[in-house]
Amino acid sequence: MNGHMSEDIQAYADRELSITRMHAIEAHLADCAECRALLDQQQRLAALLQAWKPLPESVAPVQIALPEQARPVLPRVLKLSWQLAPMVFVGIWTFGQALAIVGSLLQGVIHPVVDSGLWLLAGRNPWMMTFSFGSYLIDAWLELSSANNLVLQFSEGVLISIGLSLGVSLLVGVLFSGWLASGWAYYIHQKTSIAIDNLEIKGVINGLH
Amino acid sequence: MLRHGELDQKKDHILITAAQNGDRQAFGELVCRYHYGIVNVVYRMCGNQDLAEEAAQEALIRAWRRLYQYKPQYPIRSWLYRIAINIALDLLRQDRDEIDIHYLELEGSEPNPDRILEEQESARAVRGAVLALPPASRSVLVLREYEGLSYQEISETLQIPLGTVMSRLSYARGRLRRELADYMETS
Repeated sequence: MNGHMSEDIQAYADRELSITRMHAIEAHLADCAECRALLDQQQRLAALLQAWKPLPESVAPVQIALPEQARPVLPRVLKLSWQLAPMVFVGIWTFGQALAIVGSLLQGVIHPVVDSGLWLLAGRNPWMMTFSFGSYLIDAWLELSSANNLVLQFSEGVLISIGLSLGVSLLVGVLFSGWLASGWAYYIHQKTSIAIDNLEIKGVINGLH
Repeated sequence: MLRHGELDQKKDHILITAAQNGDRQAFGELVCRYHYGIVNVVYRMCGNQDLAEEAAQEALIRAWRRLYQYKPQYPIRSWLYRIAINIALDLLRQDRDEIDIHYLELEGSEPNPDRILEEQESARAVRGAVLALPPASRSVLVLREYEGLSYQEISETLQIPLGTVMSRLSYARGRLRRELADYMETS
């Protein structure tokens, strides 16, 4: 018998081979007395192993006091990022403010800064930055479309004075409310889960065999 | 039309989904289905009925607590057996000196005393030889010979490659063949 056939004979006896491989092993077994002996030994061993009987099935009910079921936990990074979201928002806001102040200080001193468009931020309240930016965009669009009529100028005024500022305010409001709502929902969910588990903690499973 | 095995799997899936949502009755049904198998797997691993029942309880409690971690692509039986085997291996590490491989609980009775003695002797020898195997090989052998799992199922249960299943099984059987040679002659 070849050493490498041992696992093949084993897999053959366990019926774990493909049909093609089974036929190949059968052909080999017809010629190899050593492998036939190995197969016979394996079958006898399998039968002998059954002498160690399993435990008798219990007639008594299975009783298990189940504790509180664990729940999937958010990865620590995600948990932290959720809690830090408003701080990140304030940070971005502060950065914008700082940029406006620095831009104001640099205005008139360094020309490239003025030319690069940073003048939009210079010395302005952050709420006004949207106004400046909107004005800049619409001026550019009017220039391109060369349709400098009264209707468009009126639209420009409306869009700039109401639209953009309102839009930014709404966005900030929605983000903040969403953050508060998700926090509240998480708190309620945790509270309910704990209450339910505490009620059922003495529950016992009665399984009949 | 669904076959019996597929029907069982479908029922398991429904029960698991309910249990994952906190339904204790559904988990109770799963316990009824698999408790006996789990107890026997641990029993073959550690050779002690009390320890096996204790470990099976521990395995089921652990499974209940971590049910959200169960991945439905694997059979629940494999997952439960894996937990039970890990607990059995922990027990073996703790109580290595306490396991008496010659101890044997006798079950049932046969009218022929000679036959009873012969069977008891074989059972004692088999039990001793199986318990003397290294735990890694023993777990593969137990799942194959006593629980009838396929190589693929053993691979999924123990989270080891298919080749490792085959080599461990081959090693375990080779060693058992040598140690039980006398009994195989007479069987």
